[in-house]
Amino acid sequence: MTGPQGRGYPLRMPIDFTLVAPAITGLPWHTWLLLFAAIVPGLALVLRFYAIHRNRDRSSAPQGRDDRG
Amino acid sequence: MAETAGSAVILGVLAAYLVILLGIGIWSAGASRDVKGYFVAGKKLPAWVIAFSSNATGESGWLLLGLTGMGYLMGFHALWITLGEVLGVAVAWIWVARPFKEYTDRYDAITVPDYLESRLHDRRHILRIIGVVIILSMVTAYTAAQLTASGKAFSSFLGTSYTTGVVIGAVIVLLYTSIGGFKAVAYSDLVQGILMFGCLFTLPIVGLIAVGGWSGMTAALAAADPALLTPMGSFGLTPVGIASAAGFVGIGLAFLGSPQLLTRFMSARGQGEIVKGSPIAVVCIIVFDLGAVLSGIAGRIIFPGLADRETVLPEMSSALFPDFFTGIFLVVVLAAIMSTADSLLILASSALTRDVVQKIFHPHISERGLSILGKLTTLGIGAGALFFALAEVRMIFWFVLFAWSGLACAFTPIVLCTLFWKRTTLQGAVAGMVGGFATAVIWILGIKESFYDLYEMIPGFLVSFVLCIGVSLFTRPPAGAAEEFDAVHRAVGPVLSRRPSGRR
Repeated sequence: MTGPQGRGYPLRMPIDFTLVAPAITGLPWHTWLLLFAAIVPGLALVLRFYAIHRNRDRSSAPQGRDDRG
Repeated sequence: MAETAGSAVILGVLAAYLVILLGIGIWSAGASRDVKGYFVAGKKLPAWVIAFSSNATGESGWLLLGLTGMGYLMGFHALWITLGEVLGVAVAWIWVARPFKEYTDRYDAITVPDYLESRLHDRRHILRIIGVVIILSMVTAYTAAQLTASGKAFSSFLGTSYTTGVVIGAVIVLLYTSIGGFKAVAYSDLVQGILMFGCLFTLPIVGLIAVGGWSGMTAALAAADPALLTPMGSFGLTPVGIASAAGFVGIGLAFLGSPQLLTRFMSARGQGEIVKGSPIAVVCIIVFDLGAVLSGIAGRIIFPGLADRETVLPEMSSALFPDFFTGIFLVVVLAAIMSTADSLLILASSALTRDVVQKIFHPHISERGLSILGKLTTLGIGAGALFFALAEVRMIFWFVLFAWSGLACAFTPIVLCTLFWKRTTLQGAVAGMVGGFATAVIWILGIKESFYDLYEMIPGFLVSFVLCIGVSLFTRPPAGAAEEFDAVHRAVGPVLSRRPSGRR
């Protein structure tokens, strides 16, 4: 399969599954699950938090400051 | 000859690093002339500094020597620690940091006992006194463990005596901490955190290449012991295995409210810095923990018969890298050690100077006088830790966990209760603090071994929460605390939704 007309380079790099498959199957699925759980939920939560609050200081001043005791 | 040249290169890198630390100490000296400057850097720190500083402080020498050793010993079972710590850091930055910052700014608090006393209207200083006793006892042990790690690192990398390594580590930390105060601690933590990040990003990649890539590593592990590839390790799905995994996850609970970490949130320039720092902190902790575990696993294949598993990182660095980088790795281990020791010293010094001298005995002492007293107590506590370290308590991992869990069980549950439950009372907090700490100690000394070696943080947290909530339900919360609580949460606003603030 080739890319856009006239360019003549492969659209996708060939993947040597004889190398990839042992790398994946070398670990049991539940170890992959633990690895995924160790990284993804924490990262996803914090990126969502950052996306929501990064402009908050500029868009709205925090309320409640006048309650300072 | 070549060996002498190699040692000279390593010593040169080490000397450059120590000069940088002292330079940061001198550069920060101007900011440490009053008590707020000395203990929280005037609450002016930016996002990058608080993010790297909190992780470098939380991780200590245990990350590079202890956690790599856990990866070496247990294989992928050590990933439970990564899971616990990443979730702990994420939850702390998302949910805990901003209300804590808001409260402490309102109270003009600069220590955690300051915050607890104001939040619970503790006019008789009960929580402050109990908190100071716990901080001082735990921090001295914890700092001694860091100096122990320093002695071990020097003897592993340079072949010096243990005593020499302990003394060099102590002198450098005490110098820059007492000169520059918390600003020096935080900025040196930034430098140290970046070094740790670079090391733990590079080492597992080079280690994996050395063992023939990911497939080579898994094949070699399967040949050595297939249990190393599984999440439950050699324990299997047994009560011991489940207790071990739960304990490893429990290590991350301490990130939610240990005083040495909460100080970073207090010292931030504002709420915006906490938002900016949150993704930095989480990415950083992922690289720290995953890098350490994978390095230890690769190290097991390269050096299958190490007598002391906690020397796997020094062994890998000298076998896989040229001398210059071996020097860098020594610096990185020292960085992890010093970044924790300096923060603990400042914490203990603030407990004595601010919480005891200024708040209880001499409220009218001058700012300059307090700052000088803070520096002297830093030196005194450091000298005490040095004495204990020279007595050679060598098992870094469990010794640090004891101090880590003791501090966390005493403070974290009650900090969480006061931040998120308006009914928390002084009596409940006292019961929770004493009960959590006592449970951690009793568990280690008498129960742990007969209860599947379950990590003391879990029963400590449970008892502390039960006591704090139970006693609070039967006692009266401080007048005005509920209104103040609502005002703080209105100011902070919703956490993970785009609704405007002021809805709570």
